[in-house]
Amino acid sequence: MAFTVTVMGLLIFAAAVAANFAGMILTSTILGPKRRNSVKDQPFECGSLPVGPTHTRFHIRFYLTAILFLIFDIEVVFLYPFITILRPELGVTGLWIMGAFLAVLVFGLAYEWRRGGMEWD
Amino acid sequence: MFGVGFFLALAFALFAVGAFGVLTRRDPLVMFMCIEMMFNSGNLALVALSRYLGLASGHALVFFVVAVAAAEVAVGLGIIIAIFRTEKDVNVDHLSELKG
Amino acid sequence: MNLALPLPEYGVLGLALVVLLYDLVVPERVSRRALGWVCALGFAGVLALLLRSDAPQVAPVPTAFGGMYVADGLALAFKTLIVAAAMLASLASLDYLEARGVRWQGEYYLLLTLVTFALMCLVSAGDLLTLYVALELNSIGFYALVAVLKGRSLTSSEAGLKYLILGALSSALLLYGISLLYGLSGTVSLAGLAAWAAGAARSPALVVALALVAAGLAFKMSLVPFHMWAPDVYQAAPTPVTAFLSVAGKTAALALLVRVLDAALGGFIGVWDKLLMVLMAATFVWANLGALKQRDAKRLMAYSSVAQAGYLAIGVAAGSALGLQAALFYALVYVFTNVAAFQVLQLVAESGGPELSGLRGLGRRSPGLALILAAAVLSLAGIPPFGGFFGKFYLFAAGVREGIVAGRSWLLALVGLAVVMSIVSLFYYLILVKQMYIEPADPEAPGTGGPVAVPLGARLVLGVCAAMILWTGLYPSPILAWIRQALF
Repeated sequence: MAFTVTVMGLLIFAAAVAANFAGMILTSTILGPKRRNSVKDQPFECGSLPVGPTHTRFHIRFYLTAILFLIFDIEVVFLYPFITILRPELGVTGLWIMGAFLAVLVFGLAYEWRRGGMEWD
Repeated sequence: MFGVGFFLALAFALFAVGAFGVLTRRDPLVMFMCIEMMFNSGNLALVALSRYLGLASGHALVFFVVAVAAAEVAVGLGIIIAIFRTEKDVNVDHLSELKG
Repeated sequence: MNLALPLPEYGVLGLALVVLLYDLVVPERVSRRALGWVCALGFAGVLALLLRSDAPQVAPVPTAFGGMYVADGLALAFKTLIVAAAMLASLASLDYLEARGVRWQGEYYLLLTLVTFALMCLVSAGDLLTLYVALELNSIGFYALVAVLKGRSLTSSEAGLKYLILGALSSALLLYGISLLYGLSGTVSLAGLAAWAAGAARSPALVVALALVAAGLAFKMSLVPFHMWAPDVYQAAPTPVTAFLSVAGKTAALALLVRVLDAALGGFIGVWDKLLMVLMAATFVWANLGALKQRDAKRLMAYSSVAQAGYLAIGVAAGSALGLQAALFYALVYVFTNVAAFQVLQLVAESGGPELSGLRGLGRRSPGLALILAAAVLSLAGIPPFGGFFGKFYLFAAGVREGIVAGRSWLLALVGLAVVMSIVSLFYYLILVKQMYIEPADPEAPGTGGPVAVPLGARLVLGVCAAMILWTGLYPSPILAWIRQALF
């Protein structure tokens, strides 16, 4: 029962959104005047003229920081389930195993530091 | 609420979108994103099935897949940077030193 | 739980730690060349340990980590091959990296040891989780190793990127297949899958799952049409990495096929053997014909390696104990022949360039090198006094026997195709020989004068490989006995 109601609601909503979209686009293509000029092709930024190129490139150093962040960020997926079952299930053995895992990470951090991965210049 | 079939269908859709993206796009970053999408479709299917079967093994596998995918992307970004530093261009179609 | 069981793996992991600490502690201006010797010695130690340990001969094989790590004879035999290949690869790397001024030698040897560790875990996997993580660890290591010439060679980075994108794609296929298998069977352990496969009904979902898993594994094994990465990667990667990837990567992939398809999903052999045989037939035709038109020596060897992967897979498709033994013997021969061939090509490329024409006149300049390369390629072609002949003979015999006993006529046809394409392969292997002995050397070409310099590391590699090529060809019975004992 609950399943049908939710799914029906979702389907009706999706259909309404699609119809709304299609309606707006269709109406504006049918009714709107079609005169192209150079002003119309310009990008619109709240009335003021656009400044500078839209595609700015970030410095390549950000990539290195992103890579390093990615690696150390993902460790959390192991820490979170670990802490939830540490007390009831794993006990001291689990603590040692996780200690070994974290030791590997710290080792990696030390390696990165030593090889100059943290230096901006 | 939603049954396991719904999630499997969603996983399949994600997988198809990802595979289509990898095969049609030419920017390695976008290709990585599409591959991540395929990984996550596998993850979604695993989590849904794990829940459906009442087992924990699928959940466990997902954690490892997430970590492995991150490592894969890290190496990928490293290689892209290495190419960018020499070439200033990483379009896959322009990388054609190797042929035959 | 038996924590001491993965002793060889601990050894390789310890070696990786030694390499890492050395690289951190020793100042940067000191060359890392010594690490090559450290790795070679470390691998030699682990190899001795593996050769001394006996394969378990009674039914419940020892396992560790709750069944996720299996120490059976199959794992032991394949680990021996992988560690031997790693030892030869470190010896071959010594002077190669030094000559190219690679700055990342510490990382190179670290990745080499970690990849070896991953491959060892991979052949010992008792669980889809261990299998997946080990497979990814070795693939990621190889992506970085292929691209290790960064800054020196754009093609190296380019090959690394191609390999990574295609490799990640195949991993995604494998993962999706694993998730479907998990949904059908409710287990991720390979033993559990085997128990389930014995009685489970076939369904469309099962066929899809098997096709995805087979595709993922076929990529690692480089079977056509999942071989697109192989020629590019083999050509552009540093030659020692190419040699290691082509032998150790392929050997481990073979072990994986045996474990997943033959052992765990053996109950569905009627479903997956069709899929596998289509891939193998495509491999025989495409790789052997593709090799004929290659001008780059390493690229030619890449096509040859793809074809060899097809021959190895005959043992898996047969699915019998005999097939498995034959595949393992052929893998052993293949490891040493391919390493020898790549080692000679690596040495020749230093002076004569990567093209096939660089080999011209080698028969007069360095008769020893030319002889070893000729022996290696003739062994790969399956010409009598060399090991490759017996390897192919056992494989084809196992395929024919299984085809007749089990009445699988498709298998017979496949073996027939393999024999025909094996004759075709003789053409391109003889092109290499012809370049060395018959084609006149171009007097204008650089480095065609004196003999090719062979440093100590390469001497050791070539000595070991030449001895093994002859031993496997002339007196294979002790090796066959070792294999039979391992696979009881």
